[in-house]
Amino acid sequence: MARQKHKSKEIEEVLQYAEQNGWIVEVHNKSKSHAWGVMKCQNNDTNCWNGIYCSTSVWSTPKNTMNHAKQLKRIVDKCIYKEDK
Amino acid sequence: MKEFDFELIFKLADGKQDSSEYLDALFENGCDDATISAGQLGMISLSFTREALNASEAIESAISDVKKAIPSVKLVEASPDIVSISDISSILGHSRQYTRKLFNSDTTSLPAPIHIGNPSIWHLSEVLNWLKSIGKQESRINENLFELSYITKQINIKRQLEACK
Repeated sequence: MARQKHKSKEIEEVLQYAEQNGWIVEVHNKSKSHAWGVMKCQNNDTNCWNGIYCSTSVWSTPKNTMNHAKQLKRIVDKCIYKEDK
Repeated sequence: MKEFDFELIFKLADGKQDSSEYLDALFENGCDDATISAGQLGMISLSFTREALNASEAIESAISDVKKAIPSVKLVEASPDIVSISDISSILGHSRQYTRKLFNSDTTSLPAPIHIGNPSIWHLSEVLNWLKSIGKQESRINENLFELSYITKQINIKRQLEACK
């Protein structure tokens, strides 16, 4: 089943970009949480920035949607497994 | 107001390994302008885009917001500060070859690295000041980055000195 889409177009676009680059997007079911979900890199390699970015939270309503989308994209782009590197 | 892009990495000191339970606390204490990563157990990274009057206010308020949410955290690193040639290239937006060429062009005035190795590393603010002094890349360097890298350097050095106590 297809996952639920993020209601921000900018964030949803980055999540799809992350998925194209081998990340998995998990949507939380807790409606009370500020965290909408999480994007996880399947390689989960400690040699890549100590593995710290391999699991990154996605806010439901960040202070600034564009900035959050930009930060998420930056994290996908610095992954050592990203193909065009 | 100016906008600052920076990152803070903390260690969770209370032995709790899963930081996901802190997410709501971080959000509610003002970190709703940060993207939070916790792929490594016991560590947490916050990538901020924060509006403030100056870099010092941006970073100090961010550290204080995180400590309000998770009192037991210890700062590990503030970035951008400690950088390799590869990091400098992506910050300035050009190729590694070009940065290497720049670094080789004036080795007498080039700031000494803080670590000589493969790769060697520098403090970003020293490299930026050097580039400015030799008249290179000035237009590519955002004025906020000068301010920011000066503050992150101070914070990281202070943190290292505290570790000696």
